[in-house]
Amino acid sequence: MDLKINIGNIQLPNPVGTASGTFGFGEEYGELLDLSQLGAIYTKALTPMPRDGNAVPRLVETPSGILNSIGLANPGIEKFLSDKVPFLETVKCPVILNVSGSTEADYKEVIERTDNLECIDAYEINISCPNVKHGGLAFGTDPIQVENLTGKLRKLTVKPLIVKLTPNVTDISVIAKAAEAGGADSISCINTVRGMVIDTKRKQSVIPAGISGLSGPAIRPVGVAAAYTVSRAVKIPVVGLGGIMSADDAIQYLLAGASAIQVGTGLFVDPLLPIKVLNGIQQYMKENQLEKISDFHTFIN
Amino acid sequence: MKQFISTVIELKSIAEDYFLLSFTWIPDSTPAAGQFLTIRTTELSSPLLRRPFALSSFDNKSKTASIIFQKRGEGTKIMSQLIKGDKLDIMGPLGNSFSDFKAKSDNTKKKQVIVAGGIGTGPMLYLAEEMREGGIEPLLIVGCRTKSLIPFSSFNKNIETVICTDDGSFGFKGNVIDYMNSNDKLTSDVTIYCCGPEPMLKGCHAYAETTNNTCYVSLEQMMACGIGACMGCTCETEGEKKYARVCKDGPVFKSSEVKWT
Repeated sequence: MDLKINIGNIQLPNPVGTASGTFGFGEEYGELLDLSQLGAIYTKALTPMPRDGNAVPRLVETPSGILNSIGLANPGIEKFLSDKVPFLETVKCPVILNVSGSTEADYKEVIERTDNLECIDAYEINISCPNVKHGGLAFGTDPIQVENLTGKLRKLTVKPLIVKLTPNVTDISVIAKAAEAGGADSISCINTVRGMVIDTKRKQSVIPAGISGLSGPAIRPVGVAAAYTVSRAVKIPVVGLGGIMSADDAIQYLLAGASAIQVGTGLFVDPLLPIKVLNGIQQYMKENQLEKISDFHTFIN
Repeated sequence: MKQFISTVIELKSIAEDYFLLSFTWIPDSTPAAGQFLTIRTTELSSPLLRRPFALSSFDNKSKTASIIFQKRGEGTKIMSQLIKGDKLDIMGPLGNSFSDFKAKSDNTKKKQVIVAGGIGTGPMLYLAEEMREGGIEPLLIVGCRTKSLIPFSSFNKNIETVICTDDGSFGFKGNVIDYMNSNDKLTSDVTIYCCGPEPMLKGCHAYAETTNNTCYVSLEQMMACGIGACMGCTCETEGEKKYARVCKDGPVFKSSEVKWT
């Protein structure tokens, strides 16, 4: 049985990673699970300057999900280099740095200043965050901008570029194709779904930022559909995420056409979930006589 | 911090919709007063997130711990039906503790005043017990709306305790701040520790400012990961950083470091 998957010029030991924004830079969860067993860590988004994040409360639980507006709170490049890189250098699984920003220059700066780091194996380009006023989602909903930005970042690094897409568009396949045309090595989908919860007593949004991002099992069918759609639109591998709470959920993504998956909100419920998902995938492969991850893609047209 | 499966020893109703849940703890771990844990209340996807609770006691000999919780939403409703022998998926101990600050201030000459309200009572009972065992005689002030919400059986007779009710149905009539203002002995040299609803925390902070004393508060916030990774449960601070993580940098903060709104 071969669990390895290729993304651009790198190989991930297995398809199970941890979704950006739910796992920090790995230190905290490293106390609870063996990071070396992961297919990859997708880090918290990094922007050139530190970001405090959005006003509180930033979270509210919804039926089978959570709505968040963290606002890409992160230490910025300087602190990342001094405080986070020494830890990431000790991590034995691939590390994929999630890159975000408000302008094209922000994305470029993060890549330019981290490309020489050996501990970073690939980049995930976040053009889909609904919780920042500029950039983020604005980039990710316009195919011309997606191709343009991906193309410019492509010139800066030979490391794989995984472009992370939002489901908040009319046709995700158009955006995926634009990223592929710009030189992306992979597409990850989906980022959170736009949502809102209103406090009827106070007659205002529970989260001060208003419309925020919904994650968790509530959005899983949306994510599976996106992985299905995107994997048919592009030739590059797809990383599926959204609401994975069990091995069976992850297998749905693989059957839909994804080559890898990320566990996000599910980590909050069970920190050992990535390991359980990985074990479950192996068990399923054994029972169904699948040799490699691409064998999952032979069942559904 | 560990994730482990614990066994329920007892679930006891201690006041209207308030429960004391005792359960087994793990070896090589001694949670301190102020620290918390999270419990996964169901295998289903709703309610989804683990629920955070501060420890209300810990017995190192028998390695048993307890929390006090109020039946308030879906998660705590499920917990209110737990019975002896049930298994609990626990993650803990999490966050900092009051001891982290006690060790720093190390001023035992001052009267240690512990102020608790509502579901904030749990960790303060533990703090009072911890102090008593350390040879300090704290004053515990507990505020409740009305008599039916007072967890009488949870109080230790060996700890000086004042109970305040908003409606005067038991003890001092008024809130904990009213009580402190009415007690002249408290205005000088005290250190205040508080856990309870936000107005109580704010009141304690304001009282400490006015009387030139130090106050430590334990904050509550919606939490997702509980271990400092997701940046979801932040609070505004007066410090260099605009926000601190309640789960990892707290839940206990020096009240002057919190930005009160």
